[in-house]
Amino acid sequence: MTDASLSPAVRRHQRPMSAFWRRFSTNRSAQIGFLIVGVYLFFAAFGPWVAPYDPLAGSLRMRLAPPSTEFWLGTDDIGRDILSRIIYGARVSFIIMATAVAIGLVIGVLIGVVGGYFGGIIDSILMRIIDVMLAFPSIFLAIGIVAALGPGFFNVIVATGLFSVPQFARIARASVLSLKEREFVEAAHASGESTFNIISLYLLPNSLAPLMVQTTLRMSTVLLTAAALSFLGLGVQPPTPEWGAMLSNGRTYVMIAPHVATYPGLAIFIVVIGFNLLGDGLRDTLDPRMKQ
Amino acid sequence: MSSQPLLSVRDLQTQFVSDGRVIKAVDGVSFDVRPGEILGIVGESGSGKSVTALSVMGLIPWPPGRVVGGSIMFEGEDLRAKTQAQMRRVRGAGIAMVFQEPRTAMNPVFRIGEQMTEVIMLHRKMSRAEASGEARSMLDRVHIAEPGRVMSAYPFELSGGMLQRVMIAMELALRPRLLIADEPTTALDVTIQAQILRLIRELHDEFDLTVLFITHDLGVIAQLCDRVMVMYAGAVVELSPVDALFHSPAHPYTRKLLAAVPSVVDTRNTLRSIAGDVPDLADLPPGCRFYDRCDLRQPECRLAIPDLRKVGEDHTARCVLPNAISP
Amino acid sequence: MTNTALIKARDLSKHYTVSTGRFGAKGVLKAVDAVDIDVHEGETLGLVGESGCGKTTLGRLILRLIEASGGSIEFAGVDLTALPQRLVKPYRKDIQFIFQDPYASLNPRMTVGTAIRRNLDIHGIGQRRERPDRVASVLRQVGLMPEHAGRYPHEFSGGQRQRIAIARALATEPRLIIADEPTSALDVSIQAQILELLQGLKEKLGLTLMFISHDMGVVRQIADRVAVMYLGKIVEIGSKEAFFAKPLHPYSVALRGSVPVPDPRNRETVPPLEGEVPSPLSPPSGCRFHPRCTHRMPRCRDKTPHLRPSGERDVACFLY
Repeated sequence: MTDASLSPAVRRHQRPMSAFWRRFSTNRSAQIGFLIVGVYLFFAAFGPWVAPYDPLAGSLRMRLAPPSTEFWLGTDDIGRDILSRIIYGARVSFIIMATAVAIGLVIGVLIGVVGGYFGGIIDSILMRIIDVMLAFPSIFLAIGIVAALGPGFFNVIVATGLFSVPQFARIARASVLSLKEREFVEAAHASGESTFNIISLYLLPNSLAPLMVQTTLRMSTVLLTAAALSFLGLGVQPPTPEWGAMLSNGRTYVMIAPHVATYPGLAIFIVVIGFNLLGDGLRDTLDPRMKQ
Repeated sequence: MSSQPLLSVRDLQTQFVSDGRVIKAVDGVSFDVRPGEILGIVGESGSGKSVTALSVMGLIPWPPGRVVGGSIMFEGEDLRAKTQAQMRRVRGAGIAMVFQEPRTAMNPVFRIGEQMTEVIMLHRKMSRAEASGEARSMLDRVHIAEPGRVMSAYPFELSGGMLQRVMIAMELALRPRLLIADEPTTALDVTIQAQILRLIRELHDEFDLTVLFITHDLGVIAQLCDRVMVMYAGAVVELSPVDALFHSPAHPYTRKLLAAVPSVVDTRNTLRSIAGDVPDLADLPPGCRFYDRCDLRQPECRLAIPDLRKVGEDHTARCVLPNAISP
Repeated sequence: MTNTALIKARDLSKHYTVSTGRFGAKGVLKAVDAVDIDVHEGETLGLVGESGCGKTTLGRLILRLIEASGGSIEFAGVDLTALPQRLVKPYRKDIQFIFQDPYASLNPRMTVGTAIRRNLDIHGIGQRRERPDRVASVLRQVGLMPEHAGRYPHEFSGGQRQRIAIARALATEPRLIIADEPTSALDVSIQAQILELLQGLKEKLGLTLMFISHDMGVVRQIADRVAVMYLGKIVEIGSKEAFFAKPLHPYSVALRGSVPVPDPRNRETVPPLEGEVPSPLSPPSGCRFHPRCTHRMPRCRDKTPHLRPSGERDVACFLY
């Protein structure tokens, strides 16, 4: 009886990671996104060591200087080096992004999983709240939250974090709804797993792929929204080198010194594109079926 | 052997590309379908039986799949040389096909009658009224009790067994010379399967229909077919009249497969399983594909793929020692 | 000993309220309807029927994976239906389940070893440090190797995955295994391996097996007794030998006659059963099989036949 089975040729199938890398390595846009995000993270981590000047110290003699060999991207209205400010700004925006997305992820997944798993009246209430949040255009929601809390670095994080909650909640809920009907979850029930373990060992690990994609895509939305809030004067306050605030500051001089507004804008643009490409690439490689 | 084959496939090669690996789903398959016969193709999953049928129909989706070699001659014409537009004409009027899941082959938003009438008008150049009458009489032929009610129904309103009858009626309304049936009863319950098998047999007798019947079920083969082709890992291992296949199987795989089928009448009380698994189609061994699982393997089996050898009247097997095996 | 009932289900029902579509009208779907069934200690009971007959629901009811609408289930003398879910857990150790689709019944993100070990952790079986050995030993019992514990399900073939599912079930040393179509997703050659394995394990470990299947041939291979279900009711139950020698209920006869026999010299001659299974939402009155039955009598339309002994088995038909 066992002789039949003692020679099980376990398929030398690729391990999940190597299959992932093979697909990832053939996806050009994902690689470009990966590269951009990588460079961005490098500046966010090592900004103070690579920036040529102090981002806060300017000299009025050098105000609105055009790009030169001394100041590669020129200087702003009080003579601060724009390149250094952009490099330092990478860290500021990254802290906002990472914290806000983490807030959105944790609260959103909690709501989505609880609603999706337990269903019924709990689900209905949670989803109505989410629907209300989704009914507002996200930027208005963020403005509303900041208006209520007052402007500032911390409040921008809270605002962009909270307005990310609905997206994560919806994805987590959809994922749990489809997973909880699967046989392996039924098998877990059959063997007596607790609700907490079913969620943490069976449902969440299998929801990782769509959540990862959403996390990456969300980064760019948060970056853009935080920049918009700062642009409107509701976000990070001067003199903190924040890209949106820099852009806002530069718009006054757009006719006489266009570089002051252009380069921060370009930085926002490139990083947003980078996260979007990476997110789309991850979606294609993590789960080809999700491709539209 | 006397008459010209209706369909003649030679050295068919169909491959799929997946994650950078080339999967030889069908590798050098040759067979004839003779006019008026029911030829069965039997094999387990991954044997290439369905891919063979789809290759004949020109329905291999590229990417990821493609027919890379061989010839497919239908009524003397090479189907591989035909354009997509020409193939559309062959499908239907020349070769019709019914699938395992009739539901996916029907358009869910049109009534059964509309779909049948449309197809019949297109292929048989009939007026709408004539086509509608033809549809009704074909539904009657496949023993649908109330053709009128079925024609005004949407696909979701019918059961799987009923839809499969509708599919068969629709395909036969085009008067094809060859019907390819790909696991048409696999999704059905046994009592409904018995009805469909009886129907196919009846239509075969009545219309002198030639059928290529693909299944994983040896019981269905025994009940329905005249000749059988056994496939394993993308290749033909045995081709034989149905009686000889069941009563003097030559290839070790066929013999083991027969011994693994649980039956409701057999007196033998233990099943014999086949150890191991099917080889990886992207990484095939150079020799016989059954080598790893075969009890009778010889050193030479590992070196090259054995040829199909004649082992009896109209009976060939791809094994180096078919004659050494006593039935 | 052989005739002690390990499972004793009485008047067991599962009714679903479903909306029938038009204007929110509600109907009652009787998936399992007043079923009495015993599973004897040490036997393999084969439960056969076509799709929608309620066999899968019945299996899940016994495990309390779904809650019964009525009736009782005794396991080794304890009425499980009277217990709150919390107190059912200890019995989950004794009753294990094997699912149909080995591609779906294993958590794709959990290694094989962890999946098996969870079953030990949940029930607190053995000392913590002995558990890896227990995992290794059940893997060996199902013909896999201890090294396989570190791998993920997708690295295995369908047959191997079903072995893993069996190993997981064996880990808790259950008394009863309910297997729901465990081989219907597998090829015949692999199916035979799994049937051999289950048969061998059952004999070696003295298990009781409830084997749910649509395939009469498979049931004939593995079962000691056979129960046939039709539209939520058991129509015939009895020893395998007697059943296959001569099924009594007209539905059993038709079902057995519909199975294509793998012998071209033995081609079917009896006309197949006509018509289709009626909707379980509006089952026929009286005997549920009467509209398709060739032996129907006037009373079959009005009165429901109950299971009654006829020789060595029980049949629910007025003919016997």
